[in-house]
Amino acid sequence: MNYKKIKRHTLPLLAAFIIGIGVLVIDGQTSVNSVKPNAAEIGFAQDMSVHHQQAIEMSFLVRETSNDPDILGFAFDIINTQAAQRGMMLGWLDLWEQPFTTTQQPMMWMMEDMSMTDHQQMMNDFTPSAYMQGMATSEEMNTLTKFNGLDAEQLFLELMIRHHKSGVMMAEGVIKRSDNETVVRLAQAMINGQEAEIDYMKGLLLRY
Amino acid sequence: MKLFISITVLAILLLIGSSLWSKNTKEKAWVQNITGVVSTIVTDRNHVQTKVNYDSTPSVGGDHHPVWLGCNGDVYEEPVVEENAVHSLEHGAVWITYQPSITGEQFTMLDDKMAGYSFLSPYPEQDSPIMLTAWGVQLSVDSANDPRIDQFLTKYRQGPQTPEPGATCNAIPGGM
Repeated sequence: MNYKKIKRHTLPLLAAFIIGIGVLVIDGQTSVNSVKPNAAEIGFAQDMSVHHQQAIEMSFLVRETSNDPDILGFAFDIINTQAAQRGMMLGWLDLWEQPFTTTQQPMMWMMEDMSMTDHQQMMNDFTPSAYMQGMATSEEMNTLTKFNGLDAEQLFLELMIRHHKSGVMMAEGVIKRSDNETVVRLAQAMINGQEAEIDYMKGLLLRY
Repeated sequence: MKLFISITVLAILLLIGSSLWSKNTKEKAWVQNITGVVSTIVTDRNHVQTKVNYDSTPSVGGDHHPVWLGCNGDVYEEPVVEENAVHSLEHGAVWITYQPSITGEQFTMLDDKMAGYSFLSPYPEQDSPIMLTAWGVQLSVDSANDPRIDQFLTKYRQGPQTPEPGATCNAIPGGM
């Protein structure tokens, strides 16, 4: 192979390559199905969908026993919103061809590069025996199942406040580690929504 | 030289092919620009049981009542409570309001547009015959024939401005 021949091949190939890149840049946007997800985005979608599922379960439990219109309405809202958001995240995993569940330890995707102080803070704030930080333990879920009326409402609010706090933390965790606009938009909506709900629940708790 | 030409031709064909392919795919509804839409940044969104003073008529968002109005194409014949309607905006609904003086034909056209994540009610105090409101965005039109109505519905029902993606427009069972 002589030098001239390589040069003859290289020029048009380079041109084709540049045109190809140009098409990708013009056409492509960093939305959910056009880029490869990173470990944090996959981990967030997997963990947050488990996390959302428990909020749905707790809301169904309190609706079985409560007669308070505010609690009934609020739980109905959580069930619908979090079930739909769960579906959005599972939809990402589907498009990414990633498993819906993982054998990895929950939240590893945000703990690996976490500072010691942040890690300590997280351990202090949430129950370590829960499957995931901030989630209710199986004992707490059993208690919520047994409780009736006002007791169930109060426990529901306490557990859901803790649950939402860790949800906010997890959403902040993925925003730090993602530039996928679809993922970041939903995570930011979760932060805004769940922070507002924490305030609302704190107000409701004053009745008990 | 022959090789150069053939590869260049191939590259051009690929480029044309890919642009044709792009035209075949659906336009991104969220980036469509709609003339006349007024955007407002809304920061307050707490649940309150009191009357709220909103900056615009109808309101484009803010604090609201814990109970939202059914907004799965619900048609309200009387003016609704604004604090409930704003909660529906938070859930991603487009609220179409009209001056009661519009013709029956105009009303029927709006009524026909009702589907998921939208609701319709009269609003005597508003400035335009017909107004469309979603969280943080508003459009005034003179006629139900205006093509921007469908554009607005397409872009903003559970659109990118929605504070609670996935939230429901089903009313709370039992009317509470």
